[in-house]
Amino acid sequence: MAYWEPIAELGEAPLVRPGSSMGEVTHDIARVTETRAPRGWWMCFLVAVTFTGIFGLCVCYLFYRGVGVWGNTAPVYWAWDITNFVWWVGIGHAGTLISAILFIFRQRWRTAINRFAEAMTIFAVICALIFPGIHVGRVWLLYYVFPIPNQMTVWPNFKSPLLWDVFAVGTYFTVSLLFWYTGLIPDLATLRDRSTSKVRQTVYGFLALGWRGSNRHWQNYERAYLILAAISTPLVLSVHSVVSMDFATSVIPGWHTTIFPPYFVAGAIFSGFAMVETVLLIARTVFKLHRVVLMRHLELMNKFLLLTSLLVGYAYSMEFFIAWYSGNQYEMAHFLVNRPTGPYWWAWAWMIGCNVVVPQLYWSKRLRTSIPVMFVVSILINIGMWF
Amino acid sequence: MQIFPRSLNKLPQVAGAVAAVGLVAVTFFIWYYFSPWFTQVGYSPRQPVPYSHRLHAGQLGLDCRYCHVNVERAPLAMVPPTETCMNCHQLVRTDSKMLDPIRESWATGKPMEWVRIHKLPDYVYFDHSVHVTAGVGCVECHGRIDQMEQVRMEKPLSMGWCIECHRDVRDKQGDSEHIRPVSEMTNMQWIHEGTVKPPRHLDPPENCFGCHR
Amino acid sequence: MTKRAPYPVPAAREPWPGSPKYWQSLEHRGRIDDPEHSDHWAVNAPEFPKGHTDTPPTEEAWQVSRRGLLGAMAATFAVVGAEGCRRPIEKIVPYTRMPEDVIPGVPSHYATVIQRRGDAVGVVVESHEGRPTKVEGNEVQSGSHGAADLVTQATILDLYDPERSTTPRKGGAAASWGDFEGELHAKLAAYEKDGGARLRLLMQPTISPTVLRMRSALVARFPKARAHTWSAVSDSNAREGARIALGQPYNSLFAYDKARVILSLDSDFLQTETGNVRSTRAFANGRRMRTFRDTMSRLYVVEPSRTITGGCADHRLRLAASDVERYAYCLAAELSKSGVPLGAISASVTRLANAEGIPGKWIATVAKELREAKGHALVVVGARQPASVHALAHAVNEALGAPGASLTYTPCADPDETDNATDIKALTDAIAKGEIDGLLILGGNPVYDAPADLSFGDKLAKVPFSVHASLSFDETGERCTWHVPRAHEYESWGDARALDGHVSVQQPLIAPLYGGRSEIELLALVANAPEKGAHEAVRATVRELAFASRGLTGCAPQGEGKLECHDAAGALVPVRAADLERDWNRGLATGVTVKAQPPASSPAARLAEIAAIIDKRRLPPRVGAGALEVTFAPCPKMVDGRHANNTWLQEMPDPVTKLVWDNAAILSPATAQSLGVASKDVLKISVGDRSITAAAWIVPGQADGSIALTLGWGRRKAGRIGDGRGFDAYPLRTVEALGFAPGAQVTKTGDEPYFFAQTQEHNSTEHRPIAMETTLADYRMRPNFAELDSPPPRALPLWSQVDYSKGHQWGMVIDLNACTGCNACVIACMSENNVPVVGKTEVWRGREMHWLRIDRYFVEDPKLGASADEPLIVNQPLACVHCEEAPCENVCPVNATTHGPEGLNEMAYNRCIGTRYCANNCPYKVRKFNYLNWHNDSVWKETGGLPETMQMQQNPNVTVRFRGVMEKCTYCVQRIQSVKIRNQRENREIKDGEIKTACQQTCPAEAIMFGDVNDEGSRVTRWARADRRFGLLSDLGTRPRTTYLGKVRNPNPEMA
Repeated sequence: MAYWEPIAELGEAPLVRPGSSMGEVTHDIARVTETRAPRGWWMCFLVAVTFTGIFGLCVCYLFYRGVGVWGNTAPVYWAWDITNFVWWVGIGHAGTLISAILFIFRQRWRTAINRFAEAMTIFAVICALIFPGIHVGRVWLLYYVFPIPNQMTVWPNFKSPLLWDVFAVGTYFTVSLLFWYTGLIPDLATLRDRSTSKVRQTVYGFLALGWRGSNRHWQNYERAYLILAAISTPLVLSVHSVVSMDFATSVIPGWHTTIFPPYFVAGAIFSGFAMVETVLLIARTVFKLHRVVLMRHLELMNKFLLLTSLLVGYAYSMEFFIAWYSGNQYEMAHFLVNRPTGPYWWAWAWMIGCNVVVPQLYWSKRLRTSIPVMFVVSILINIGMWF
Repeated sequence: MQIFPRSLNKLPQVAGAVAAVGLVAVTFFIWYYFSPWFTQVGYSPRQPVPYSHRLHAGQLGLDCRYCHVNVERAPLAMVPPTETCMNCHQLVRTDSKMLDPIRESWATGKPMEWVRIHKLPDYVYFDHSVHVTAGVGCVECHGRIDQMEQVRMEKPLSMGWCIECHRDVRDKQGDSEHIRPVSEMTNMQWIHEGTVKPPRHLDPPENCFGCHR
Repeated sequence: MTKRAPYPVPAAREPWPGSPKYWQSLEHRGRIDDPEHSDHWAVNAPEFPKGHTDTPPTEEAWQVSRRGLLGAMAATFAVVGAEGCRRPIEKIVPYTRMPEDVIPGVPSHYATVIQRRGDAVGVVVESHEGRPTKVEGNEVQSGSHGAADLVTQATILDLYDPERSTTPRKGGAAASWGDFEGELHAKLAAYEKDGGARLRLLMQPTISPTVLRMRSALVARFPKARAHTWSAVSDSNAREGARIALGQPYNSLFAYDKARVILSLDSDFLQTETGNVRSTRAFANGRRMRTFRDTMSRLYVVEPSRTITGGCADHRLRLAASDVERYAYCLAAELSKSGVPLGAISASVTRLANAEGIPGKWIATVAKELREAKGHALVVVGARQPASVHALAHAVNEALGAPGASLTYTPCADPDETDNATDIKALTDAIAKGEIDGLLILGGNPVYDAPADLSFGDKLAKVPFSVHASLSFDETGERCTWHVPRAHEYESWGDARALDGHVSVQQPLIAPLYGGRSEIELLALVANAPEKGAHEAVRATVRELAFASRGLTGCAPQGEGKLECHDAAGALVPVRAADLERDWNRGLATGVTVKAQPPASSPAARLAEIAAIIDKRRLPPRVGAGALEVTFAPCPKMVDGRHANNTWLQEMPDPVTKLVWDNAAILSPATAQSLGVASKDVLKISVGDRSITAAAWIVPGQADGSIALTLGWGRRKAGRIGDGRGFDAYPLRTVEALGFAPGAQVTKTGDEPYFFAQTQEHNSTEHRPIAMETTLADYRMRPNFAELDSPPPRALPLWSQVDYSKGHQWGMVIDLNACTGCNACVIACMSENNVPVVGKTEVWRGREMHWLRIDRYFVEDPKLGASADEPLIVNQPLACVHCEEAPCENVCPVNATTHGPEGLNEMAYNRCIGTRYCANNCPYKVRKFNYLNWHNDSVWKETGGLPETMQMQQNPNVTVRFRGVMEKCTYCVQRIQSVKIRNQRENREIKDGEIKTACQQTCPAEAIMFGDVNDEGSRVTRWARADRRFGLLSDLGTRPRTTYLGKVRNPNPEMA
């Protein structure tokens, strides 16, 4: 049976509702690339480009003056830069999770969102990679972190978690890219076949790598896809665990915590899903994909958000508990006093509020299925996870 | 309807292979061509006075230390003051056109401006005296100066190159071909045979502070 | 069932009530009792330094101009765009004629001397190819003992100050020396007619025999001319006191190491008083504890405002400066009552003895202590206290048998020097009366620092021909008809007589950078002395002194390099010129030219005269809420303002307040409360009809009702660095009130709170036990008290262990008991290691670059009678401790910081890419990051980067770090390497003490010891075996190479 057919035993509804055919679905989606981009798209694009431009200028100034133009200083020499890095890497995770893990669990509804998610992952990781790049003091020597043979005969320090990051995120990016592209091939072929202009045919044709939809193609495709899924599944867990070790392996109270790896992963999926939802909702409205991205899918995502928010909440409470349980007064100092009451209490408040409190709304089905609510909530979660 | 010729089916494989090979190639290209082995070695600028080491050090057999007096007691071997040239050239070749800048500098007190050839970065603190007194001959780093009409850079003076020698000496001590009797320090023809007794236990640094401060 | 082994975390210092509290500032202290925070978690220090959460003050915030931004973009693109790979041509420029004894790349050292207040500090200056770069103490010279204080260390930067005066000026317009001499000679010829009756000379107090000789030569030429002396910071009162008590203005030379009990009456003898370097060494030696069996001296300090001397006190009484005199009388009365022979004095003091507001213990018990320590007791009086107190102290000291034991009297350098205040008053009056045509001001800056009631500056305009010779074209130079540049001490020949009477020659390190001339040359010019040039003059002086010291007189040259002299008996004594030559050269080499005379039999105190003076005294009114007092003290950094343009000193945290780039009006918490003033409030402080504005800074331990102001700030014409920094206190200072002014009024101006930058709260400790200390009694019971509080780690190290048992293993031990917190080491480190200055705003951001900082903690401990209002102080110098298990090394992704075979934690700047991970992971927070290109992009930004002259100061053997690079203490590896190389070259082993780090070398208290911890015989190993030793945060398992010796206090149980 074809994979889109529902499994009655699981009480699944058909992916393609009666009254609309596969052809229509294809049409709906292909339309997006074939018609001129709607005004909404242009507006979003304009906003994005503007901010990217400003970012570019700021980076120029940063390179010219040095990282001193940021306010950061002792005792914690990292700030905005690494926060962004961690945040973005986290965001990326949802894509992989949706594509790989849900795929392995045969969660068919994922097909509605996985392409968004994967694309989002790629760009999130690219964003993530920017920040470690620009945060170093001498960006022009960044290549020192890569194990390239050199006339100094000096290698990078493989003890350093930062170096582990380099490898972890690098791998993650490559695999995500492959995964995304592989999944894309049949669709590219479809676009090729639908397209009328020679240019589109050539471009899509080239990218489709001569896909003809033969059984053998499908067979290899499924196998390749499964393998990639299998490869990237552990990555979902490993990448952010490694990132968390930047902090976990240090001697700083509040960083030196064994709970970080799972904590970071949970947080990553949490924020990732929120981001996917944000993007999805915009795309859905702009490109009128209501027939493809059904309320049911959104609701499922929200349930997921609720779950992960509980996980994150658990991690927070664990930090508190362990701080107290350890009897280490400096840990206590850190978590029980400085965080909630220190000069940065407001950041802490945002974190707890957005990540633990707000998602509880989703216990109610009405809120869980209301577009405006979920849009606001997803944004709030993204904000909360930044802190 | 066919967009691409059949032959294009090979493209992915070919592209993949080329990419793989190319990547490695580029790495090694940079490794060599961006290193002092390529960028530094062979640097041989024209000097204000075409002073010939071949003539002075080679044929006339002047000892290096006649001009580079501080090599045994200071970090810098020191490029000699005009005075040193004039010691001889007040009597020798007093009419040679080539020596005009020297005589002028002597008369006016305006120093000569030689072009630096053997240059280390500012954050490298190399000390001639400690190397020379350990039995590392001039030729080790400067090559056969005594055969050079116009001095050229023989060795890369790159960090890896320094470290190699340091490691070799640390392991082999007197058996290392880089070590010679201190008496043979300036002897460019000297060849390392058998074991040399170094003036002291040699422990060349390999840590950062050995050269960078 | 298994049992969990808890990780041993040292207890914070909260758990039990009444246990000592350690805090860094009042705000911090405030949080201790704040119910919200005072909890058994023991976290009271704010986690982040000031300025972390606030926004920067707009006036100093960065302005990103459009052009700046465009420039930035352009530059960045330039970086991106491949620049030419061709190697730039670099020139080698050798000498034409090789100078003697210069080996390029090998520094040479010259001994010279610096005048600091009334004492001479011998220094050895390191010089690279003829440019002096570093000042070090001279071990032969007794004023230095091989050490130097922070100001002496910083003088090298004054030499290279880009804003020094570069040319003579007539009425502000540049002129030539020719013009000046022409006009001068014309004028002098005119003055000569009436014997110079209308000619006056104004100089600073001097200890230079040659200057004095030249001065008398001048007076010889102009018999009616008069030489005045003025310095805002002088020992006039002490001299006057000595004159009254002993008949002559003798110098008192205190041997603090021989004393058992020391009482300081408002004397900061460890920092701002004359002879602070020698005093510090002696004091530290008197308190050194090798084992718990040793004894140590006990220091009582009575002072109005906190000084580092007060910080070292075992008992400190905060008392308004105007009450100190009263206290002295009370104490004297008590002493005489208890049988100490004070003769005529006892009556007069008893009459004035009014113990109101003085704790009884401080009279009875202290008197008892002094009496019992007869022969080993000392009473020291501060310069700003009136002469009567000084006189009384002489009597008391004699009665306690100090002279000969722990006190020697030496003849002062300039017997003719009169009381500075009356002297300059006389001068100004004369000017006002129009009696003066010509006034020569050699050095000093009277327009800025003369007593306010004289309004010297305005009167100066009345003098038709006034000449000012000074290093910089300053406030006084502006007002004079002529200004001429003076030569710096490192540029000119001179000499100086130290407190103990020996004379050192000051030899130039470099030709005058801006063609300045020294006092000697200028005086010689005016007096038209026979000697040509300062060198000849100094030699002549030295020869005379040498003869005098051998009791020879009337020496006449007598051919063949012989001289003919007569001894006291009048017999002929031939002297060979060669011998003189030899002595002279030896003197120059060692730094001591004429040995000190054995002290004359110590003069007896003239009790009757002293009594008479005391009887004449009228005690100043008690300070109270209505009538506050303002006290004036020389700034530990600026002295009287002469160093205002020195970036190192500006950025050095004040030893007590930890303020940088500013001074402040110091108030006690109680006073502040009664006035409703908070720190940073801008105050209008007025005495009589004079007033100034100054921002308040509240310091616990300040006497109630007393406001402390340091001098030397608020300069108007010091240069780009010094102008307008801090608050000028001179407008309140009058002839009558040079030390302290009673009857002050304070009002808030209501302006915006002032923007202070201070390092006090950077690096919170969260009450970890860091600076270990205890009392002598407790130390005797628990000799290893320090180690008990810093347990060894139970956790195993993460990575494989290194064997540190072979070869040299460098280590350092710092004795908290000796450290006075004077900050000399900080400046020494800056000048040795090219440490950049970042400027006020950046310090406020917490980005100061000092490799070595001195953490100052207030201690509140009932056991020591130290309450929150009167806390004690403990200082802890902290630089990179070179952990054997360094957290920073593991986390660097590019191996920029690694561990060397000799135990150094090595930082390779050229490998660092600036991820700052190491600094995050450093538990001591001693790593400093170049957020910007500090040298060019901070205080010197407007002038397009670090001035060339200041680049001349930089140490060529230390890399100048670029922006984006992490840096930290290297144990002065350049020194280690140079010694190692020299010894390898000469096949010698390194001897202990051959390598000294900059901080160790300069420490006046000898609190820092560095050496090879593998060498059993080395001093550092011996120190490290001491029972007081502890490792900082050793529970983290970092195994620091720098360890500390706990502080021991010696409180008197009867005082508690």
